[in-house]
Amino acid sequence: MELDELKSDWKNLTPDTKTGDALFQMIQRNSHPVLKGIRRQLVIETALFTVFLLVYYSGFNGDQKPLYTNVLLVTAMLLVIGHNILGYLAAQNIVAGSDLKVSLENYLVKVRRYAIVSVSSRAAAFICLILFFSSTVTFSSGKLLVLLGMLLVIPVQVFFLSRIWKKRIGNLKAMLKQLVEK
Amino acid sequence: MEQTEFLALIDRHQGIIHKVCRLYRDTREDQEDLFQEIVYQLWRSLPSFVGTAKFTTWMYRIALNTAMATHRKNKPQLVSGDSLPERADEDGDAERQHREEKMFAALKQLDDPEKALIALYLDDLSYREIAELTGLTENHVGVKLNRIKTKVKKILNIN
Repeated sequence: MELDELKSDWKNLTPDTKTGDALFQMIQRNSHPVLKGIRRQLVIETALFTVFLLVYYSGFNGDQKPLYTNVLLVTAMLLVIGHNILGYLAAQNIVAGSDLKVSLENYLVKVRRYAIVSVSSRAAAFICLILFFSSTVTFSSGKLLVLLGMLLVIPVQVFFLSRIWKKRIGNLKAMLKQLVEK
Repeated sequence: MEQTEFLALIDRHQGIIHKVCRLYRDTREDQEDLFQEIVYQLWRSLPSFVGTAKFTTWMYRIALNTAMATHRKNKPQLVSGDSLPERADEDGDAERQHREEKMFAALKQLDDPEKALIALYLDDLSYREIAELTGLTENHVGVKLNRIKTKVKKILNIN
């Protein structure tokens, strides 16, 4: 096959045509597969956190704990919800530039920022939760070990989350490099 | 531009989106997801279409941008002998189907930016249009396209 034949085949490609109705559905936010998934996660997590916040005060003795731990707990929940909202907004705006190069550069900056927010908010939320539940505990050596074990989860979580983002950012950087290199 | 006018234009030129989807995704499921994502991003980006470029050139820019920025969900699947001729049966054109498969198999060996450049070249966009769309200089586009064409010829001859 020569390039001219390739060109002809490319131009004469016959697609599986989508109907006008199907195209109309595709521009609706409600039918977007990624956004639908994030929205579902957002609703479920927000509902669970709201129920938790409504019952924790009596259920987990929130009234007997220092005020700062209650503030930390609410902060932890808000961080997770805020992270989901940012993800939802980021998934809507992929194209941001007058040409391919600028748009991919802007997208890389956005993904980097979101990666920092994602990793730090998850770690901060976990720390807030540990502080809340351990604030009124009298520590024996056994309980201290449990606390240490829980704290060790944080760097592990940060490591795995960072690795996922690093790979994604690395792929985008490599693609940009391939685009601009002579 | 009104929604109905936009949808009519997408309907007329949806072949561009299909080509980009087949070029950048391996499974039918991934291609369908990318198709939807591209149409959604086109709709969202519509205010950026000022009419100085052709609608199809603008469509190509958004489609390629979306394909390159969004990540692939599924790993490529090995296509079994039973499912390969599916499209051919529908169309009754096994020869054309075979040529299409061969073409995409060759083009998929290129990296993502190379795929974008060759797609634009194959659809007869001028070097100036490709340069404006990608953000590269015309000279740069020329150099890269020459290299890509040599690469594609080599792949096609090997296969």
